[in-house]
Formats: sequence, C-alpha cells, structure tokens
Amino acid sequence: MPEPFANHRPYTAMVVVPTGIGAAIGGYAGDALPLARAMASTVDVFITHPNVMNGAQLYWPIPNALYVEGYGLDQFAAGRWGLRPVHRNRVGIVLDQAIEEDLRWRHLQAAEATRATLGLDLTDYVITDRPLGVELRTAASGATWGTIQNPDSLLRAGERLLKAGADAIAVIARFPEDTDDDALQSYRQGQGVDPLAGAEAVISHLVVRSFQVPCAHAPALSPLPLDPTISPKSAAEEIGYTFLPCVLAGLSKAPQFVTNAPAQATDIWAEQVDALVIPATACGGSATLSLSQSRTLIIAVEDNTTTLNVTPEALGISAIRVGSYLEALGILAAHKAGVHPQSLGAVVPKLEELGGKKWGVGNREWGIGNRE
Amino acid sequence: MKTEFITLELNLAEIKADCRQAVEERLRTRGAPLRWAITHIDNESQTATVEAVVTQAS
Repeated sequence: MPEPFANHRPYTAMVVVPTGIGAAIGGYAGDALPLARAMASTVDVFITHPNVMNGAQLYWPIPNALYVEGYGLDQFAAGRWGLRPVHRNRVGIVLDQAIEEDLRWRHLQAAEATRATLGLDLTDYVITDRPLGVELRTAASGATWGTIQNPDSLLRAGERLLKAGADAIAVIARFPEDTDDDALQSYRQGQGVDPLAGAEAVISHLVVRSFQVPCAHAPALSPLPLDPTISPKSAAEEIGYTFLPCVLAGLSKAPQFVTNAPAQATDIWAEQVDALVIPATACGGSATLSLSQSRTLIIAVEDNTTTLNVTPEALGISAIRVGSYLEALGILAAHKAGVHPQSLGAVVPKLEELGGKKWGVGNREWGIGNRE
Repeated sequence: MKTEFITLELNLAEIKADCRQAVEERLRTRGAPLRWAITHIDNESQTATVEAVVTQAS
C-alpha cells in the first residue's frame, strides 16, 4: 500500500460482485479481474473478494488489494471485524476425501508448483476424514446455492491445519459432475449462472465463520472435453487441471481478521471505506446493506446485469447509478480528488437557497445519482 | 452440524430501517446464518425474499 501523505488518509474502495447470480462481469472465470486491476490503480486501498480476483490458473498480484473472503467481508462491513494486512500467510490445504487419486495428485502438483515457482509457504496438507458431500442447488431467484453433507469433517481438517501452523486455509472439494448440462454449456459460453459458485461460497464461509482466518475454495472437477467455441470469459477454467493456483496466491497475502485483539495502526475498519461499487441489481447482500448505513459512497453499476432485480431504490439505499465500470472509475477518481462530478459537466447548476429544488436526489453527499 | 438452504419472506416496511440486522434476526430463528441475500423484492406486496444457508446442530 502506498504511504499516505501527512495530511491525507488512504482512499479506500471496495468492489463486490456477488457470486452465483450470473453477473455479466465477474460471473465467470475471473472475468472481473481486469476491473480489479483498473480500480486498484485508481485508489489507495482496494478491498475485494476471491470471486473477483480468482481466474483458476490465472491471477494478478495487486500490491494494494486486500483479498477478503465473503463471510469476512460481511463481518468487516458490519463493523464487527477489522482487516490486518500481512506480508505473508502460511497456507494449509484441505483435500476432500472424495477426490480421486489422479485428481488429488494434480492438485498437489499445482500446490508444489506454487512453492517452487512462486515461493509460497504451505503447510503439509490434510485429507478430510469423510467425503464432504457437496450438493448443488438453484433457487427460485436463479441464484445458485449449495450445502455440504459433512461440514464437521471440513472443520476437523481445518483445525488440524491451524494446529500445524497454517495462517490461511485453501479448501479443495470434489464437486458433482451430474449437474444440469444446459447450465454448464451456457456457463462455458459466458452466459447464465455459474452452477458451482453458490456451494463454493458456503464452504469458505463455514471455515471463516468457524476459525476467523482467510479461506478460499477451489473445486475439484475432471477436465472437460475440448470445445473450441467456449467464451473468452470462461477460458481461464479450461486451461489446466485445477483452479488452485489463484487461490493459493490470493491467500498467501490475504489480510488477517481482527476480531478481539488490540487494534494496530495498519488495521482497516468499515468506517474507512470511502466507496463501494456493486452491480445495480444486486444490492441485497449483507455488506451492501451494512455500508448503506454509513457515509460510504455507493456506486451501482447498471451494465453488470445479474439474474436478480434488487435495486438500491427498492431497498431505500442512497446510491449513485452509473452505466458502466468505466464511469464508476471516473466517479472514484473524482471522489478521491475531492472533485464534485457536477463540476466536470458542461453546465454547473447554480446554488439555491437551502430547501429549494435540487438537481438530483441520489447520494446524500454528492446529489448526482437517480437523476430526475 | 448440518447445512440447510432456506427462504424467508419479510415485510419491507419492517426491515427497511436496518435491513441487515432485521434479516439476521429472522434467520437466527432457523439456525446460525452462514450466507444470505435479499434476492427478490415484490413491489406489489412490499415483501422481500431472502435466500440463505444456515447451519443447525444435527
């Protein structure tokens, strides 16, 4: 993170692209990573979650990005937990007992590669004492969810890793392959909803809730037959045997959670979040609802469509609507610079007597959203 | 422990003041909230649908 100037606190922005809701940008194989790179270069501290940063074999180290799992992000936004940046984490790996031997070796070799080629610090691995039993589900909203039959086995494995000195936990669960073929084909074409995403989030949420350490998940799946027609947005998941490298790279630098320790000067808390960027139809998540009660500027992006239609207006959330992430980048740059967006237009509205008609009724401080 | 997927319908007027807290309170009557979101708003009936996974002692 850059050193703040004497009279300048770091500008902190958070991007959330909820997983498993078919987000047009970020709903596929790490296809929000370009957005993360652009946003991180605009702000001082950039907070986001694995769904935005993970591209299976692909990832991009961003020095000022904080990689925060969704459950931890929700606790952070609610003000219950802080984030403590680290120089490194020692990462432990949980392998689902249901993973076949060949596939297990592929994952272990990917893990070894991150040690030998990237220099990551890993503990020895643990195989769960029972198959995790991942079950997938698509809800009435179109969002994908999931449950696991043996959560206690996952937590026993996590506990062993923590006792062995792990600071963060990567989970590799065997995912079912008898999923809806149409849904899978749509996903490979860069359409529809990721059928696995909801269950992945449940697994990592469970570990973070139980142990308050960084966690992320990579599904274990047999390689798919070659399909020359797949979408570029899904291609990152077609180029190798595992989705593990991005997870290990992300966890190796993920911030630790501050739950009850005395605060340190470098800790980051929800009240330091200057802006939150979200899809305009997915405003019903815990983190967004928490930050909507604060002074955080909420930017709702219209062209990141999802299967949902939960808008800021429907929930009474004061937000600035923008058409695209390019426009959101401009708003962030202006907000960071202290430049009111109205000043960047061809016409600057005149001041009026307090209580008179306003030009806009959007965000309470900036008054530029939800234009009338 | 077991994980269970549930849905709830909540009256918007009752939760709007502090949505996150109101949703979590309702979820706690069914288990420990693990992951949830408001996934639908019915403007006509002024209700919010919450989809969630909670954990329960088995």
